[in-house]
Amino acid sequence: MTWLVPTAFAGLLALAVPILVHLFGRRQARPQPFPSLRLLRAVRPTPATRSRPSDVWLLVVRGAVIAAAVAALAQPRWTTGDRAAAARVPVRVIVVDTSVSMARPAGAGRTHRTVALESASTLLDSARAGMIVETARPGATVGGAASWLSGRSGLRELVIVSDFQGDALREGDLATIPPGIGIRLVRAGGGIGPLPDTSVVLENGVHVAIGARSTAATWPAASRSGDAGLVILAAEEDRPAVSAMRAAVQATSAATPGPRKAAVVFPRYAGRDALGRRLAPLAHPWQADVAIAMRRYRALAAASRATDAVDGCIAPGTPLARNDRGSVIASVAGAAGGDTLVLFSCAPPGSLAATAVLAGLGTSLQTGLDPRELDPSVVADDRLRQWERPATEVAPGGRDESSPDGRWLWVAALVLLGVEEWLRRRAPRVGRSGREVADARAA
Amino acid sequence: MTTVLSADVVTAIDDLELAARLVVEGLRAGSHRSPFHGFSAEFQQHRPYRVGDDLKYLDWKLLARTDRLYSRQFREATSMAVMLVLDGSASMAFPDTGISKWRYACVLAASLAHLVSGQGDGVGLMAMTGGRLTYLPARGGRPHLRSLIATLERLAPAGNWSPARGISRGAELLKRRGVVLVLSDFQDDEGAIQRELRRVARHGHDVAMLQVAAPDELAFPYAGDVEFVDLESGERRLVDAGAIGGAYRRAFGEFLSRSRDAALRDHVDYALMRTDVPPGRALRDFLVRRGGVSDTHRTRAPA
Repeated sequence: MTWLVPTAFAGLLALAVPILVHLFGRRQARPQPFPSLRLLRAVRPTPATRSRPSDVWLLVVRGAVIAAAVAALAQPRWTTGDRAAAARVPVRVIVVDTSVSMARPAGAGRTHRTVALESASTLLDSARAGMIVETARPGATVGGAASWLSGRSGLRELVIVSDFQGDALREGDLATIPPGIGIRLVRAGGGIGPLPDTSVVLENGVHVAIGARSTAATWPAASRSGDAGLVILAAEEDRPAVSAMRAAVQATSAATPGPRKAAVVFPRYAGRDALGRRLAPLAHPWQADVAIAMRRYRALAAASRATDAVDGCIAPGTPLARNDRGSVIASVAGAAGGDTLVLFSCAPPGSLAATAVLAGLGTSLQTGLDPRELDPSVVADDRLRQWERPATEVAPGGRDESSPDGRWLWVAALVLLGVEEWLRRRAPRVGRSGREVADARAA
Repeated sequence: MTTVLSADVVTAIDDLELAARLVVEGLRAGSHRSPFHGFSAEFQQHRPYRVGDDLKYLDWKLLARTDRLYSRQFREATSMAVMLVLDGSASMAFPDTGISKWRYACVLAASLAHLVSGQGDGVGLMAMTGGRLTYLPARGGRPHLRSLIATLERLAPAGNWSPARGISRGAELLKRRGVVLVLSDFQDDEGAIQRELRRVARHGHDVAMLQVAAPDELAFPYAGDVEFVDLESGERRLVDAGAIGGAYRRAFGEFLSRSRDAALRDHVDYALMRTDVPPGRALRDFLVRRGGVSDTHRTRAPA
């Protein structure tokens, strides 16, 4: 039998309460006048001492109530054959590196990423439970994965499938993993060897050539337009202001445009209300990423403070920036056509806040290449073996463990409470006169 | 048809004379002759000779026929003397709620006095409360009866009781042989009490021992830790009442048996007077046993 919350046994200290109550909390024995103690002395009376519990059975039952409640709180789990076998199968979190470097070809038309995902699926199939986490930063994901595993029982294992390129995973990342959780590091695509010369064309048209000694990236000239994926919806009379803003943003942007699309709706745009009603919830993670990036965009926040919202303008959805009076200057309203992120602005076109909305959006839509992906170095195999450790079965944490076995202890505690009540009603009061006792018994 | 008033009702009547009269009214319905046998002219029965009996009552003819000593007993026709000896020790104040043994004994004593006085006999009182003896000589007449009952009303149980002083002085103050009725719980020195009763009986007095007991003494219905306080000595003892209940009840039963056996052995009449039994019924039972009341007229108290 295992206990999911063994710390609950600290509650057994509460057993001292009924004992102390029985020892010291007893009522003062009432003096009872009696004709003569001659016969009492003759029968060698049992002395009543303050150190003896007043009612042993009542004390035992009360202690049992507390013990049952504490045991139930400790969430017992009786180990049956099936449960024991299941506990020997590990729970796994498999972190798959999906960074750009994993896009290298692995032969047969596959990339290291697809190979890594296949390995992850195999590992997940052989696990009792688990999940696959796809991330471009495996090292940053380790903490969350370990936290999830901490709440599981039995064997627990964190598997990282990666090419371990650059600083995808550092030793310090693994230091946060609690003891008992196994660490397995699987290099995607087998052994490392020298990086072969390869070239990758990313989805945004960027061409990356990775060589043994150098890496080069090139962008198609046509895609240098910073706001290629940005649509601006404004009233006709605001056209000059919009043009000025667009020019200003392009002049300051050297961003890499991507496939992401966004639209900014300015006040006085005729179809503003109709568009607002047609919007759908955000459909892609990048849309949320853009919204978060916009909220963190300091230039937008600073520009919005002193900007007056256009009278009567309503910016639905999640606010991105407010002015000093609390009016919403810009908001993420939703998605249009599934792929286009739609922002509503209450800042008049041409204003500093409106320009900041466009600039921030242009930056947030970029899908540039992380320079670290160009690092040709990888963590050596022997170092990976040093970082690995086997999983050991530890006492379950219990957050995800239901404890159906504990309910019987609650039932036992309730039954014992009933017995305690019965004993308490049955016990005559100390020192009552005979007639009172007789009446109570008769009742 | 008469009704026996319950102990609660009778003892709750403040006027002891009224209470006694109510008790005696119930008794008189079946009374045909004196329950107290004296040594007067009308022969009633023989009884074994006891040391101290006047030899003039010895039946010489029976001695000649049977070679055994028997005294002739006569029905007291006039001027029989009854001495009521009352234990007024603090233990008689038990229990402190309900009917105390003292109140019950007073009702019995007043009723007996009323009964005896009503038959034209003399009745006296010897009570010992707080170490003081209160004595009224055995006389007849209504004024004396009222005085006796008033004396009983004034007394309150206190202190210890010396059976030797109380019983012997009561018997000594009878100018001639009479009836000595001792009302007490007899919780004191058993040996001294029995010696005294035996001595008085040997002096020719008709002695009866009316042992008053409260139901709580008999049943001992206490539980848990109880600090018992001796009413006479003030001694305190904290005991687990539930644990010793059985042993105490056995000991009390043996104590009552010893008292009864000793009384029978010494030719002393004995009656246990439980304070939860109506005084009228208790007295009737006692008097029926003595042959003074017709058993056919006994009535029962309503349930």
